[in-house]
Amino acid sequence: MKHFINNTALMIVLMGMLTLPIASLGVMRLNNESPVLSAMDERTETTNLQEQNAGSEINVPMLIKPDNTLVPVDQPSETDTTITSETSPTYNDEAPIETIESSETETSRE
Amino acid sequence: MFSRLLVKLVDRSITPALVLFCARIISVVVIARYFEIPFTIGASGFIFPNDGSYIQINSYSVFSMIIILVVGLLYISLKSVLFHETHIKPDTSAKLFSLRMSALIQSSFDLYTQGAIWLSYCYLLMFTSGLMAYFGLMYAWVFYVTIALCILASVVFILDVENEIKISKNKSPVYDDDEEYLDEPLRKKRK
Repeated sequence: MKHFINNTALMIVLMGMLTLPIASLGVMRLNNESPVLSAMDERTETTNLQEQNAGSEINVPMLIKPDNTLVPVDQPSETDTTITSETSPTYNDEAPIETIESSETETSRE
Repeated sequence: MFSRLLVKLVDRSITPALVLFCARIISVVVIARYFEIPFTIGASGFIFPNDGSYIQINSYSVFSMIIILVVGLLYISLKSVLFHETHIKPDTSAKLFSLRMSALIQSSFDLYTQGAIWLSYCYLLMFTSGLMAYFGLMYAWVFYVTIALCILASVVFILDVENEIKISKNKSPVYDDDEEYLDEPLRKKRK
């Protein structure tokens, strides 16, 4: 029993000696706050927000795109607009109707 | 009765612990002065005004601790490879005695306890710097340097232990099983 107590005491001293230089890493503070704790708090806050957002996304109305992917209606993405601009046909609204008709008749004659 | 190994480990851990602790404190002050970053010393330690200066000084300070670890591990590996009691060359041994540096010649027990302590510090620093780099409190390259040092030191340490095992196997007595020249009663006895 005495051996066990002695050796346990030695182990505790050894652990203390090993952790002393590592504990010295905590001598630096940022605006009188522990930077490690504040960084951990920030990280947990962001993960909580992400989880909340992930939960709320279920109730968001979704839009089905031509390639069967879902996009939230309130947040249209950049790719969404580019796809529509590429796929939708372009019409020349400035051109007078008569000239269009004349060109059509010319092609039908040919 | 205290364990001989534990007493030796505690004895060997005092010097590197104090050296690393002092290196951390001194390096924080020196690096802050070098980069002309203002800081105050309070009850909780060195207080820095903004994130950028904190990360910069923390990274370079940990790097200075790594340099101390490199020096310590280099000293141990040099002793274990060149001046190990079990495989030191006779001319090197004579030269060390003539230079009155025979203290460099050490037994396996001394060398391995020292090596274990310095390697423990190296691994502990690696884990801590990994955590700091993960939380963005330190540059990531400091963590990578620590990993490289840990791998290198471990490989050198393992190679020396393997060398030691090989030597101890070669030194073990070899028995001749040839019974040709044994007397008849002895031969019968062995059978």
